[in-house]
Amino acid sequence: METSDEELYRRIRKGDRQALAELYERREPALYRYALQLSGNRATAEEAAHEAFLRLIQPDARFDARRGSLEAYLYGAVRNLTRVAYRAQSVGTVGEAAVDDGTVQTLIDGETTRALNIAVRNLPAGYRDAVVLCDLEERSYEDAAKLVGCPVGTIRSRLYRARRLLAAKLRQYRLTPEKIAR
Amino acid sequence: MSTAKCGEWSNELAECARRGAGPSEGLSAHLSDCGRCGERWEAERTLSAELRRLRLAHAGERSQDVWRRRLMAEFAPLERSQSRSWFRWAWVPASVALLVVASVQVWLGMPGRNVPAQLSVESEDFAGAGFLDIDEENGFIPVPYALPLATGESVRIVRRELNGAELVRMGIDLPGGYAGGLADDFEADIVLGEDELPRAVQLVSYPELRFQTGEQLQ
Repeated sequence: METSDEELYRRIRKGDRQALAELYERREPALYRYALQLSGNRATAEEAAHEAFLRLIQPDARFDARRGSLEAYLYGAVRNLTRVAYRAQSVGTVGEAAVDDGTVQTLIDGETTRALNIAVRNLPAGYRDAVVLCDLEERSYEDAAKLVGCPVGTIRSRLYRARRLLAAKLRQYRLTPEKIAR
Repeated sequence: MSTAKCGEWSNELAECARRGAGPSEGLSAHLSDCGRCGERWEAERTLSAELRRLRLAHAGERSQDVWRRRLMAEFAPLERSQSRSWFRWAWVPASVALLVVASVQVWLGMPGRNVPAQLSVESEDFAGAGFLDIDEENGFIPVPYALPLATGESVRIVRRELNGAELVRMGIDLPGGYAGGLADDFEADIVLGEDELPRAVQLVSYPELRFQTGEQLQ
């Protein structure tokens, strides 16, 4: 039987290196992808995933198992870190460059998919989380609700509205491709 | 076409498009009847296909090694501090145990304890230290059954008051005139070996006893 994240965390607090390695292997790849889909920037995603684990191993780490799962804590940390980085990026750059850093975009094959990538990142935060977790990470509504910390119904309705917005953006892109990122 | 009927199919339409599943018979019939829902169906399916492409683009190969090493390097100080923390807590019971042992030893060494071989060395007057040949000619009465001093073993001489009973317990007989005075105090220089055990006694306050041993008295 697989050791729970919380048990691994308890061992990490006691200085167990192996437990940290195990938790890292288990959770880091998905956290990285999540950060990448939120930020669209590989460097930001790497830093955010790394920083989330760094926070976890600090003596003053604020994880409390009574308030939610360790996975939700890590996702929350990545979400906040990505938002901060994204805001800083937006302040530091102007217009299109703020949303299209060219890092991930170059990996995406197809104009429409690239446009969709930008559109996802420009969604309101709550909608973006729902799309990323449910449609890109393929998590269930229940999982997504736990990770975001809201009711399942909220995730469903956010996803529904987000998809309507994205579909509209894609339709608009087909008509006028140059406007998609706005 | 009634809007209420479109609302009935809305959730199923979105879920089927998300999962890439075909529409049920009922939904299929509705889609063929309702142009607006038909358009939405196509838009949702296109969106799902694009999201799948996006997912694949994000799932590219990547090495975690550098980041894992960095994390482990950051963990090392914490690992050490956790060990130190454990060590620090381990000191508490160790210190308590040490304190208890020390207290017991002090108590055992108190004057009046019935352990003559462990007379207190915290004597009133320090008389001297160095090497000494214990024999009766220099006024010291060897303590019977005490281990002899090793060659070159340094000794410490302490001065204190012993009563007759203590002297008797150490194996030193009192002469006839004093035999009944077990409660009398005798000022004595005591020779202690390196193990802090008494080896010889010289009575200071009664010089007439200085050259008498138990054997001579018998």
